Amino acid sequence: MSRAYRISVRESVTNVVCAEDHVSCELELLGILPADQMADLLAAELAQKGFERDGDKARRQAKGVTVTVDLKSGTVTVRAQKSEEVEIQGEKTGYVYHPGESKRREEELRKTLQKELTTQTHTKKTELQKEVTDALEAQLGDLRGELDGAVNRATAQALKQRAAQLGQIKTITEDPQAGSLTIVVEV
Amino acid sequence: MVHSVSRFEANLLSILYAVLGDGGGGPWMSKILQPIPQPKCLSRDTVRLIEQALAKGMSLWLASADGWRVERFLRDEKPMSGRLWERTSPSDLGMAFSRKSLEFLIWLTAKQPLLPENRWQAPLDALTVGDQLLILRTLGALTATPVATRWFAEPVFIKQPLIALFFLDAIADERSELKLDFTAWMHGSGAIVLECLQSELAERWVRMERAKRQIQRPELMVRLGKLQQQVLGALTDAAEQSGRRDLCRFLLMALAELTTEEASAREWVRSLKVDHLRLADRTTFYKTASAFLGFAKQLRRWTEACAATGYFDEGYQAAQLWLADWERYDGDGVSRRALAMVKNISF
Repeated sequence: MSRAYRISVRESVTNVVCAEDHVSCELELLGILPADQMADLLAAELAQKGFERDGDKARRQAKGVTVTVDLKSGTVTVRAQKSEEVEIQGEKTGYVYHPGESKRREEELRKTLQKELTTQTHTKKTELQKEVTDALEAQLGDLRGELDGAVNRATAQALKQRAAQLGQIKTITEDPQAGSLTIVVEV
Repeated sequence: MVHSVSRFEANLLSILYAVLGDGGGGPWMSKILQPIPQPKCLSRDTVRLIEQALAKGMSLWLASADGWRVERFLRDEKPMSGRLWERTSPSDLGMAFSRKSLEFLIWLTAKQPLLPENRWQAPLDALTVGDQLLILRTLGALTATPVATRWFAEPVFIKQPLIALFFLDAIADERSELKLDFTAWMHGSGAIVLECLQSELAERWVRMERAKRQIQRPELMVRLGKLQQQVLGALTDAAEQSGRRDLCRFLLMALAELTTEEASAREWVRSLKVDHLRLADRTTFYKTASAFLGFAKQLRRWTEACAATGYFDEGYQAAQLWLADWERYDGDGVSRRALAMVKNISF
């Protein structure tokens, strides 16, 4: 009676999986004042929202999401990234009926196991990517409103400064609800 | 007057009358799908009937499209107002059909157009404006049939600029690149045809844009967006070079209808299956979805150029006509809304 020989292989794979996502848009910055002055006004408004200035850029990091605003061009980039060390282990068992076949069988089992571990690593990466994309998407809704508000306030400040350059400001009427600003200037 | 025609000639004339009329499903479709052998030649009576049908049918179609409207278009670089026949001298109202029209009709009657070996061939530069108009009408009458689906994949048809303008979404099923030359449509009978089709073109492009709401496949959206950029780019380049921006009025009309205060560009991509993609990758699809809306930027550049055209500069009156169109369709509001929609589509 022939005997069956049991072959077992174990593999362990450690990988660092990374996921990144980003989205960009342009803020509408009117050129009421020279570009560097507009940049300063925008930076001041963004600072009140937790942004830190770094040369021509303002940056804020929160909940794994980094928002970068180019103060001169108005380009906003929102980026989220995450990396995780993932250790995946697996075991595979097979049988041979002739001892001479055991090496070959072991190779086959090892190759199959390595493919499965690679697939599992890929699955982990996909899950991590989804986490990152979901985190990014969750931030976008409020961010748009925040940035538009900062741009509007910076624009209002720029209009006031420009009006003051033209002549004597008589009255300034602001309606934040309607988003309107009326400046009466005596030239 | 009674004319005697053969069975083949009767079929040919039925197809032609149906194409020039309102098309419809009727028995004329079966005449296309069940062809009969072509005779050695057509009788003189039949050729005369074909000539009459083309002359009257096309004239009636163009007149009832926008020809009857009192509109302003350029004539010798000056705006002229009136119905088509009031603002155009009789000698300029003619439209030529070559023997290619006859060959096309004979082919349609004698060959089964769904068979791969039965391909109609004709170099584009051999087709007159009238020939291309006949083919456009035929395609329009055959829309949503297997024949049209077949033709939308064939270069001999889709390289005709007017077909591309009207059926770009159908073409996008198969292609993502199209090189077109609209020069022939910027003067003479070609320009007159475009003048008469402004409302139809506007309506067609509004329908095409609204249909994007049902597109699920991202690759189809990308193909359509790329084609729109290519076709509109070729059209506006030709219009700018020949000083006929007025022929692109339908773009303003379509944008005005699409960019109401309540409109949101997110509607354009609501069916797109991109949830599994990174936001960075979704942006590519969203941007191509807004290709037509983004053309408002080009139209605004035209307006700025026209506003800067001085009284003594060449093209002053043509510039004033474009500015009048811009004001008529609230170009400032339309372009502001369109470009805001483009900006907000992915953020």
